[in-house]
Amino acid sequence: MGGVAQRLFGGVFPVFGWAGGLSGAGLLDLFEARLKRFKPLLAPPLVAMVLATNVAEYMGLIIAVHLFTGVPLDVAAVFALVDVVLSASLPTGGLSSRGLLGGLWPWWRLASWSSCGL
Amino acid sequence: MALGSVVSRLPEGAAVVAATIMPHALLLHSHLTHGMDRSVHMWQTLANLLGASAINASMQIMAATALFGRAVDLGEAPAILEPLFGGLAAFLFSVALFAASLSASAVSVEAGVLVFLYATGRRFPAAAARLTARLVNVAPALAALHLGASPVEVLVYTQYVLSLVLPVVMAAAVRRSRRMLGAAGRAAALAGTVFVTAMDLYSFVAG
Repeated sequence: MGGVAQRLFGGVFPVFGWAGGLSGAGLLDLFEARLKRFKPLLAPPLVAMVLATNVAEYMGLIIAVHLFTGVPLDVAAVFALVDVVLSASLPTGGLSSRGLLGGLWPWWRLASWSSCGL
Repeated sequence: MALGSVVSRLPEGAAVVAATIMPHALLLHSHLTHGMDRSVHMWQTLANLLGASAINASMQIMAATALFGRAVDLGEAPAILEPLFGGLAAFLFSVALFAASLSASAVSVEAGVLVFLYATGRRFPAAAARLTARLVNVAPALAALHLGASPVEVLVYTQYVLSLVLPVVMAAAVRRSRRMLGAAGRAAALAGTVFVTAMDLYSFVAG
């Protein structure tokens, strides 16, 4: 399902990106400003969401380290903490940070640098 | 393969929808787009999605060729790929999985920081917030592993939790953004919300 769903629903990223960009605020800022009375209803599922996704990504990393290095899962779980170091050390909004996030690499800036001969 | 792409077992089906749309990424994306030119943002996003779709399609074609009809755990994939496509394919699979995991992990941590900020209303130093957002999940994840849960099982069920939250995030976003989205955007976002909600309801009934 992943491939088809990605093609169908990849469109929501430009849509919500526009919403964020046009309003000058992220969706959570908008929730805070305009849906404040729903905050007690919205916050718990959002926290559950990030807890679930963080566990999932950590599991993915454990499997990846296990496959990459061949070490047992228990040991891979320790090595997988490398993402903690990376996450904590990269500057917010910096090129390396955006590169790690992957989806919003500022290609146009690279193009402008290359056109300046840098 | 096309049929298999849209019809799958539950809760895996709902989990894959959540893993693909990623509600936490929707939230983070809207925060990262501040100050970006609208057309640059659109073309950049479309280019990234096109690249991701090409990689996704190549993975599905490869999996359909090599793994069709086999019950395979993710951990066995390189060992199966090696005799079929060579050692380089198995190595590249592991490298790609590792890189993708690091990137996905960074996205989830950044989204976690934003949500904790929203939920608590307090701003913390970036490094401390990221460390907290990540480390708070290490204990339950390790406990699940020690209790004998398969990492892939944990992956699937945590993504299923995401799929349950997805309609909440999308519905709130659509409600808030309806004036900005325009008719086409509103229809697309609403259709996505309805589809995901239907998948969740179906998974409750069928699963």
